[in-house]
Amino acid sequence: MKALLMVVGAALVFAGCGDKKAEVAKAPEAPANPALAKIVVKDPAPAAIGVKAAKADLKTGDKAVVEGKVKDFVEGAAVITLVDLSMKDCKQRGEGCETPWDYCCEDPKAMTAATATVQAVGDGAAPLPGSLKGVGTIDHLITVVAEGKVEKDDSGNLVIKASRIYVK
Amino acid sequence: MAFRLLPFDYAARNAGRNWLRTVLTTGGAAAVIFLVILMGAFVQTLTSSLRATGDHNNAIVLGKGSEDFLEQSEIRADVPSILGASVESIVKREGVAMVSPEIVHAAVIRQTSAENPDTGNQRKGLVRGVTPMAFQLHSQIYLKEGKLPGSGEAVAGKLAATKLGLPESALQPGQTIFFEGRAWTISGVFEAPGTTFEAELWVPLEELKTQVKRETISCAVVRLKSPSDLTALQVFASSKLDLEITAVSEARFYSSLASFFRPMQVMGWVMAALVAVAGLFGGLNTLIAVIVARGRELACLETIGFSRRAIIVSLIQESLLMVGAGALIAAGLALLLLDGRGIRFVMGALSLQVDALVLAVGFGTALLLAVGGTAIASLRLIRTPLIELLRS
Repeated sequence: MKALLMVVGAALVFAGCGDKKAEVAKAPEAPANPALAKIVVKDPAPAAIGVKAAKADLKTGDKAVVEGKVKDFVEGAAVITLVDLSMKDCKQRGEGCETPWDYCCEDPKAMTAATATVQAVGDGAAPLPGSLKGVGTIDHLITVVAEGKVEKDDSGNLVIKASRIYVK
Repeated sequence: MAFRLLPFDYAARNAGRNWLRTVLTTGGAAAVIFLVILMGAFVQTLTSSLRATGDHNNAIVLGKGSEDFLEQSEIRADVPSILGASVESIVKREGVAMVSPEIVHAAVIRQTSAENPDTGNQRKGLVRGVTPMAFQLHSQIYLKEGKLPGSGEAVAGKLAATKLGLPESALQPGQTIFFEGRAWTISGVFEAPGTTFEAELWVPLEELKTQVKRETISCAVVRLKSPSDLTALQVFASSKLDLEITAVSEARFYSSLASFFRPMQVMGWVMAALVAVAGLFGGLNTLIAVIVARGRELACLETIGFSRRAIIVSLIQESLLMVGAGALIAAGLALLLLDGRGIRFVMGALSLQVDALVLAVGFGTALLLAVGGTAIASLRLIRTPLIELLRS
């Protein structure tokens, strides 16, 4: 009797864990916008500067070609954040972190100084709808080059209104 | 031979033939089903409370990297005004952007001011520093009695006393409690049915900020024109990296907390299943004994032309009557004793909800006990030859 109860209990517990795994695997992703496929290309990228250099040297209205690693995505909009290649993610540091793209081992202030925002706008001004995740194999920590115009505010936040994103 | 059922009266009269057996069976079934309903209500309330706490039109702007815990989140105090001025998708009421700056703080709450070494005088509770905007923005909340908190005052959620293990009278308007080095007078009691807000104490934001000596706030809750405007808010957050903020849907935030409690929910359902299985096996002993004792009677029924299938159906009807009565008693007791009762748990306090799903689980268990139990107990009857039954 006790053994039977234990088996029933264990079966239910494992069934619960299994469901969670399935949920993680089926995390919803916004459907890809066909317009994004024209912006994200695998062509050879032009010569680019790093994110730190771009934040230091560029000003609003400048044309920018900036290289970095993809950190975060915005769900529902073609927006990513790019991190300077000099910053080390948790994987490069050998940390057993499940989300190495959060750069949790780096100093947050240094991360802010080494991160820029890329908005895929195409010919317009506002970010296109749909996530960039998965478009042209873009994923966390993939190196990309964003080409577009710069918008910079007084706090030093740099936004690249990208007409083209090259996946390396 | 045609399949002819025994009259229903037969089963009904049999149920009333041995009152002691009927009362014990009904009482046992009621106890099992009551426990199943209790566990089901706890799990269901935990899930629905966290979901109901979030409003689909609200978004929470919180510190990057603290997406799971509001208490750990920190954002600059000027973020709410920046959001109000910059994000067009935030609703404006009479020209004022609906942005609620909030501090969510875990505090040690005392009933007396003296530093009492008695740990019974120290209770951990959740205190939320708010402005009057919070009462407009969190649409589930309404003031049951008293008034909004002024200087040195706090409003208590309906279940705050339960969470703190205090009598309800301790948090009535006019009463005084102590935390973060000062006295706070209760100015009112609010309700927010089915949400976790009800277990909190709300105080003026600036006063809590002073008392806990912090310059930052935990989060800013904003009212969006539509749930789809969350994307615009997230785009804004991603372009202002110096603010180190992120935006999540309030509904999604509290739903994800529900998944944090999933192991507890699974354990709740496992406990309910174990209670049901234990009840089934416990009841089996009684049922087998009853069927063995009535072997000759059942054999007589077969002799006069009723099939064994019809006899088993009659036995199931009899069980259904007794267990069904038990289920009705359990459901009645659950609605009377459990529904609306406040219970404490790690994150706050909940008001138990005995809803249709929970009652359905209870009645499902009754069906399992009656049909499953009788069918298993009848296996012995099926296997025994008629002549042996007549001799029994």
